[in-house]
Amino acid sequence: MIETIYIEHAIREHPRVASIRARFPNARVISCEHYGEVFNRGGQNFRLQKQRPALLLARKIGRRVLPVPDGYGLDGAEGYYFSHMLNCLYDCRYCFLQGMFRSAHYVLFVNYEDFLDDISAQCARSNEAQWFFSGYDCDSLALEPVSRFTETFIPAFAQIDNAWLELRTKSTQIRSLLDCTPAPRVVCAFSLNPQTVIDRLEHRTPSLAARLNALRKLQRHGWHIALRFDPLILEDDFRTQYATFFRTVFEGIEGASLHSITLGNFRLPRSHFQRMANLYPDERLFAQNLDDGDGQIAYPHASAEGMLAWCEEQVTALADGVPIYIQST
Amino acid sequence: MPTESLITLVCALPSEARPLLEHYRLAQVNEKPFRVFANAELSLRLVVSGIGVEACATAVGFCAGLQTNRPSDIWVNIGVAGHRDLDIGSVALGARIQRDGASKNWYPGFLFDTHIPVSEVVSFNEPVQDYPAGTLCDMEAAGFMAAASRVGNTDLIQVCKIVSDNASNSLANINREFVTRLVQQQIPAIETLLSALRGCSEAAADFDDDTARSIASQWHFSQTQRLRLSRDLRRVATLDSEQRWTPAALDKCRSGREVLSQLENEIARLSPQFAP
Ligand code: SF4
Repeated sequence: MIETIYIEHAIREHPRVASIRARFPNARVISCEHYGEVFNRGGQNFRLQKQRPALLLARKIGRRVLPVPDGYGLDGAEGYYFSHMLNCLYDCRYCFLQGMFRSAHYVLFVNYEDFLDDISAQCARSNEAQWFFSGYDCDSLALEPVSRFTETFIPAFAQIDNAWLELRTKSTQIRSLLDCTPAPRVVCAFSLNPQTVIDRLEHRTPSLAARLNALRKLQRHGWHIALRFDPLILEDDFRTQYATFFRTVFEGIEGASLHSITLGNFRLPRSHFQRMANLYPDERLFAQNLDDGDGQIAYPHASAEGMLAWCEEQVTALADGVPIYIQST
Repeated sequence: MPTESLITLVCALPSEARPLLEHYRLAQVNEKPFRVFANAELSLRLVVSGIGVEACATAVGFCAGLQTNRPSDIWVNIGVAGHRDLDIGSVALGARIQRDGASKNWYPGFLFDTHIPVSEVVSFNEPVQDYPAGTLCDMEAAGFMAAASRVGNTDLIQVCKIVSDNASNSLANINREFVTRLVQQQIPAIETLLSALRGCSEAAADFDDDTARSIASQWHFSQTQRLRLSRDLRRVATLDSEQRWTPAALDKCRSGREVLSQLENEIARLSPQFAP
């Protein structure tokens, strides 16, 4: 439930703003000049705001399409991300957004058409496949009933022959995808973890069973599906937990027809980690023994390598032939 | 144990402060340069700033300097204001605060339940009778926000205004007793606001560091080591779900460095492992 909406003065008449306002008739509406006045001000506490985030409606100016960091894309293909939204409905304790942004308020940039112009321009520079990730600064689908992101972006991507879109999500907001014809170059990538990890760290997210149910429906409908086992979370009974989990995931899905699988350990840039550990000093994930190297905080090297190798072996046995990528950043 | 947050109320006029002083049983604890009042538990205080943006900012700065500010501290400016259309005696919270003629805006957050409506607030240098539409007109809020947002958490800072004059009831009708009565009538709303803010501040509370203080008094620690000591003690407490670890485990240590190294070993021992 959104109780407070900040709207940039310049877009107060935008049709998307009007339809979002209509969804929340009781919200207090506050006009601002630029979303940064609210989002980037000093003296904010992410943890406090996460209790009751406001929605900021804004127009994205400046660079809208950016190259993904090394190691984020798939198999070295050129990859870009765009953020029509900043922040997320969910509250995963490991989420790097908590360390990156000062504010937990949701920002929705309503000028979708400008994003699409920039994406088309980027694709026109090359004949090679270009990957675009919409779930870098948010969950791609979690706020779909409000943002109606797919309604505009999916048909537009279908028009650009070399554009691929990855929707990365933990959400079950798939109605809009089931209501349309699957797009040939759009991949729905589900982030999954054992239910015990979800209970402990992925607050407010759908259960594993609900995510798998959504995934199966999309797969049956003809969408490309990918699995993201990232971040893998180290617990004392890691092997038992994840062995059962992987078996559960591959029951009832067509493993062989998956688009791709990625595996990645829990890791964070050092500066983000420090902020997050300060926000949640009593969180076991941040309190445990971690290595600090190359500007990144991660599990001690031996554990990290062992976890990835073991998981790769497990997943390969269940989804033979599906490309598996290891994510390191 | 989380530490309790301190609420500071900032009023420009003694007549605005009076009903609050009585209601919260606040006694004077400071005379000059600003009169400051506090309750017996020192969890709520009130400062009378005097009229104007600068006076208000200075009073906030003065109060902030009286003790160490905590991230969960709450700051509220309470006072009367003019509004073209709102009824006399009605209450509103500042949603966007600006000084007349300046471009900087402040936006207090609304992370708590409240039925109090919100409004823009513009702080003028002089009393105004020509009220801009949809705007509360006062003489302090911008100074309050400028100073309070330097020392406090923006989401725990509020501007609460009670309408004293409007287009049909001019400033000329205002006197001290009238102002006191207006604030008095809104005490229930103010009380609800403060308790909602207090509830919301808990997530920002810091914690008492008694164990670290006691250990730091037994061995020598540099400033950096002292910070690490606090952090690592907290990590051990977090990981040690069965609460078996006690500071007595450090008794044999011969130096601060040894204490830290022992804590590091303890953290490693309590952390999950991936056995090859
Ligand atoms: S779903 Fe993704 S973006 Fe949302 S909180 Fe979790 S990790 Fe962050």
